[in-house]
Amino acid sequence: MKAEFFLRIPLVSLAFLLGIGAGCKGSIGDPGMPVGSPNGSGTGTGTGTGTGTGTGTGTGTTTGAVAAEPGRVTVRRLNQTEYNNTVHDLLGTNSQPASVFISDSQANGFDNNGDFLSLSPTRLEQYQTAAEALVTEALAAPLRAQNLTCDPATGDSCVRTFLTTMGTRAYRRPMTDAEIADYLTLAGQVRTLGGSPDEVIGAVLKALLMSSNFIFRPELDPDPTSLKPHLLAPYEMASRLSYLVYSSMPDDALFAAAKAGQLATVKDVQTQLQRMLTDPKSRLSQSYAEQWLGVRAIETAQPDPKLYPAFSPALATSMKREVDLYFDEFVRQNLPPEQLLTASFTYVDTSLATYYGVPPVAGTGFSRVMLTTPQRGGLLGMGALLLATSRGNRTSPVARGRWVLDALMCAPPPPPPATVMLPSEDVITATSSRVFLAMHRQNTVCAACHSTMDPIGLALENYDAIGSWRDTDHGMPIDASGMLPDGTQFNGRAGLETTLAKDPRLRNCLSKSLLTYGLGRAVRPDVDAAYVDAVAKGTGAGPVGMRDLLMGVVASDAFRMRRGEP
Amino acid sequence: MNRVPSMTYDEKALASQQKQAAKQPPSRRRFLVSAAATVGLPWLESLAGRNKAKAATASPQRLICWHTPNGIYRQNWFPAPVAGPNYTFSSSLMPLAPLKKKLLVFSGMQNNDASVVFGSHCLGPAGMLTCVLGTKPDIKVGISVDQVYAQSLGSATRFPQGLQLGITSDMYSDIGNPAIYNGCISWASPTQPLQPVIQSGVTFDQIFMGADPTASSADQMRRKAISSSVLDHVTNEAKSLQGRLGTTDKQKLDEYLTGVRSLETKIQTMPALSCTPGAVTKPADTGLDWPTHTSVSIDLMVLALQCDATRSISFMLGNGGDKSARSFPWLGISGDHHGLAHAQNGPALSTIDQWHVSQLTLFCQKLDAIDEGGSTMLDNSVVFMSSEIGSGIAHDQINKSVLVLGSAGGKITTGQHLIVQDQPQANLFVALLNALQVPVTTFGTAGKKPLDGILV
Repeated sequence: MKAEFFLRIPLVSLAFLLGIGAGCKGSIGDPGMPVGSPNGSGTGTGTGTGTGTGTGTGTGTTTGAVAAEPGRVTVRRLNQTEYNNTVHDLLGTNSQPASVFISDSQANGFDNNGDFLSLSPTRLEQYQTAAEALVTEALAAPLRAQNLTCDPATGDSCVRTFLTTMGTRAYRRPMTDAEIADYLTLAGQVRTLGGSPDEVIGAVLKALLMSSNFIFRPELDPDPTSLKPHLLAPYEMASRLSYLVYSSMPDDALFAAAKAGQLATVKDVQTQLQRMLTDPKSRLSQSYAEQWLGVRAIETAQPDPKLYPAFSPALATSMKREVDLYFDEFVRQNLPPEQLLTASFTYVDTSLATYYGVPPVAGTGFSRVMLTTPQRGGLLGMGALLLATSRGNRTSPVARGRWVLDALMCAPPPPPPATVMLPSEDVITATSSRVFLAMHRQNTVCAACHSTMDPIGLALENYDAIGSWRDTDHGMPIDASGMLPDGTQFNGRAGLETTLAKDPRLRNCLSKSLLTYGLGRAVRPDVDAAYVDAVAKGTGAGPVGMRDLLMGVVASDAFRMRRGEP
Repeated sequence: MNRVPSMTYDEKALASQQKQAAKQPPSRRRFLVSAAATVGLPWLESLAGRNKAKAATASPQRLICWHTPNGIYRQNWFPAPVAGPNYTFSSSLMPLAPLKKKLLVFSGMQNNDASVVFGSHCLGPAGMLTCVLGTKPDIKVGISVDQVYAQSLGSATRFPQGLQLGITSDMYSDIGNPAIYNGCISWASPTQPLQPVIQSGVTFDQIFMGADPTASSADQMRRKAISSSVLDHVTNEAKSLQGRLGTTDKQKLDEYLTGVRSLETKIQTMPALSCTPGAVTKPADTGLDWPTHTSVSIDLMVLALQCDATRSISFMLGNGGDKSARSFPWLGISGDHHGLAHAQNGPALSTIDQWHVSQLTLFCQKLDAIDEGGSTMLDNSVVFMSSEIGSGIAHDQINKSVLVLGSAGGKITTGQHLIVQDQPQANLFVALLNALQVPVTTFGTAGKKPLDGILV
């Protein structure tokens, strides 16, 4: 009876399934496992501008034998986050107009992939609606003084002044003479139509905000059809850096560096990155880490209120903030990424302190605390992750195991066959997860993947569907011990984290994920492997820290160069 | 029965359809502009009286397509296998009983074009209205049925691409498919998704913004002219930029230029306001719970149709799979829909199915309460509902849940249960488009003829 409802698979699919099974071999925590070898010690650019490994010399040594293939990055539209931040920095507004835009879809885990940032008429209309509201707000008190430094009644001279200041910042580069002339033509048309001086400036600002040079971040090639790689122009590099770290337009220092031609070498770029990572404007945790870890949308989770009365969207917000602050510290202090799993500090506010059962913190904000309770520690003990990988009415050790393999190891198991028949919810919830999941072992097809996934998830069974600690499940004490197919044994969250932290795939996976985010394109398994390896390897001396990985990303040819597309 | 000329969907057909649509309804718009200040909604009796001959024979036809997630629980969905008008309602369909005469229930419909045997919660939504299998990792599906209809109307209404509404922005990727497939059923072209608007307040503004009632008409004219100048400016600039880009980037600029053109059209053709919101106030953008969000969406859709702001709407009552940890406290169900479907929890799934049907019923009853001079708005519409997959456990595309309400103005034989063994859903779309006076003979991958037995 027990096994019969578990699998109803047409015979024809059996070979397919066995094929999948083969895809689930592998082990966790095996330090001897090969992670792929970099293609030489660097990826020579062919133009003699930097080594690609972040040594900061920028002197023109090309150590690799392979010519750079930076790949193609599709022109990126500002996504919701980037739009909100950009108009804030550009105009001083806090209105966050993009919050009501059609949501951006994620591809390869992130919402900044140019290929997938589509622009439907409805969305463009939203950009227009936002532009109109922003014009009104920007040209009225109190923002008018900072946005308009001349008297519109003076006509073209004020329009020209406006374009050289606001226009440069909106386009994230100086406007060309021809572009300025076109805007002056527009201003003239509006005047002819009877527009007041303010309406003239308003129309110019609206055009700037609706321009393809604002809504997109164009990067140009000398020959748009040539595959020949070339360094990005200085202002384009400033934007790549600023959208990587700030999710916004370049700040004054980046504009100044671009103007002075100081973004050409690896050292230049890394100097800027170093500065930016400690700037309060950094949004790396919100824009990158929350997506990497899959916790961005946890406020919308709706666990059954009868089963989990302690849950509230506010608590979920605090959980997410904890992840942000934790990740930030790794960047700021350049801590080894492996310690994400094993660190004994975290950040809590009053509600999280109560929730985790740690001593209360003073004030209304977050405080850094050392964890003394064995119940918490490392990423996998954080409410955000545990909530994000649960169902509305129960934990899902399978989902948690899958999450670890996917997000942390970049080794997602294939999906189950579509015809797999789960037992009814009554059966699932009638017994403990451990008892229930034992069924996976009775079937070799299931076991191929679940023998790795399930033990990982079961090690976290002390945390319920909203991440609260529990000692029992269905009246039985929780057994959080586990063994992987290769014989590796661990016990509970802490044991699992120690095991995972030793797995060399973790750093490679993080490097791949950072490159995907930083480049705004898919990381190609073949061509980009050398970039990933170079980032993961770091710059040489000492342990590789989180900041080192980011330094490696911006030093790579893939980040600093581009090419056209025939 | 097959009275449509033998034509494939093409540019020529489109042009002639657009011409026809632009003529109809003729001067109602001009009349409404002047009446807007005092009149609550169009299609009040007084207005219909003014336009009686046209209204009786040529009420606008509408197409509204609903998506529900995770398939259905078949045992309680399909009527007993009795074809024709004398079938017995299944429990999940029971809410629709009062509309039986205006309903078409299908058994046996397949949409295998949209997915393969091992289906997906991403390919399913993308294929539901396109009847095309999406590619990966690059986005490419097909044009969706609502968009074929919208495009046939051209700029007859304020939204040449119709309206798209949804309830959630949660999207996920499965089996390497782009996540956009999961959250989008409307496709303007094989590569251009039209994602639904989630925020009800935004939809409200989409319908009702565009005119400042306090501005004089001279002011309004000037503002329109300035807006046009701005759009001309950004168009020229984008074209110049486009000339300096590579192939894929050029396509992105094409999307931009299409959008700008659509805004231009709207400025040129937009009536000041063809109706007012009446008793409906602008809803909040966030914080609506699932059932409230649904009922607000229903009200907005009805309003948009009443105002003739659009004649083509798609509505996602949840995205594919709806894998969020959302439970159904208002139905007394704990557990999430996707999990319940995998577990084939019959009672819970049937309750959810019935709730989906009850929402559809509510919507259709509202349309049915609007008199359009002898027939109701529902009569003059086609309301289609299906799900991204057949069964939430098998993830198949066979024997799908397909409901059609309304007769597109008496052109569809409603009031029956049709057993269409393994007919492609694409053929149903050929028939529905024909009923909507779009003379296509093919649709999607497998649609080669109008489905037998439904066209009058």
